[in-house]
Amino acid sequence: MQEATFLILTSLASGSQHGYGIITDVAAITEGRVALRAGTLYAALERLREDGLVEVDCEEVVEGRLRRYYRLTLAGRERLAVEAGRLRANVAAASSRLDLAGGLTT
Amino acid sequence: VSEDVLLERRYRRLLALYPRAFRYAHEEEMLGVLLAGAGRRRHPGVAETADLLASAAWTRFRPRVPRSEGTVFAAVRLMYVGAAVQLLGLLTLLLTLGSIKAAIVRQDPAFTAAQWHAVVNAHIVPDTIGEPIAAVVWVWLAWANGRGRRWAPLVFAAFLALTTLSILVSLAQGAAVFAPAATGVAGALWLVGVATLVLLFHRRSGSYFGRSRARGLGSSWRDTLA
Repeated sequence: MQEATFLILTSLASGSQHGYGIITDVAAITEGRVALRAGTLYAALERLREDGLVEVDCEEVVEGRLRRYYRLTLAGRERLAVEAGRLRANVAAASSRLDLAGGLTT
Repeated sequence: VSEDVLLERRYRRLLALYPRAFRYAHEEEMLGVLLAGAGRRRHPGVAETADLLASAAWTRFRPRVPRSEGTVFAAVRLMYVGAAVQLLGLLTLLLTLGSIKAAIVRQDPAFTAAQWHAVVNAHIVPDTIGEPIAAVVWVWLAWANGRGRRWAPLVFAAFLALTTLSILVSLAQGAAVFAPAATGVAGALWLVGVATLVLLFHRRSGSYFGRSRARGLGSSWRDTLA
């Protein structure tokens, strides 16, 4: 899973969000490291919706503009959990090897 | 005309590059997001423009098959692999021209430069033109099959039949002896083609092509939002 996709799913894990909300949330989650752009975001949302991982929660009109809220589906939640588990295992492997390497050099 | 209206117009010009169905679904909310992030900018930023251009191109040409449609999903990806292998075949042929000529000379020491020229004109030049065209056909068929066009699997079957015929003709002309590397790549291409065909005509793929008309992006959004 690409990092942008992972971060979008992460952003939606705590509740529904609109597009701009996802962008600011992803910036906050990554402490500004990832600046998601509108083109990337909506192409990803479209693909995630087709794959059944994300769905439209509701819509509202703010200052004359449409704002659409997205949320994770059950399948999306499961997919994010699997991906988080995979990343956690990678981090654990990297950390333990770094500790081992540190132990050998000191 | 105010600066805000001008900026909106500039963004709309970029959003016009997306497919109609995608714009129907997302143009207004994307515009909202773009304007919200624009701050005091009067023109779309360079990185933002590049992102919109890339995303519009990707949205137009990407394989649009849900992962749940496992067999078609795999077949479409294999077709992109097929396009890459096709180009690899051409590259292999061009890089091994020297050894092809050496193999022919080994078989026929009296082989002349004029005869080599004739071989190049009869085989190498048509391949140099034909293989990139075939790669484009693989991509086009990936696009058509990915969108669930009913005719697409049949056209792919016909295309694979032509590819098979072309490989058989090459083998009959001694390609395996004179150009073993390019023949190996052609064999790999044929296997990719057969695997794709099996996936396209798999029992589970049938329904995907059967309901192509109802799968339009715009209509599915209208259903979702109805």
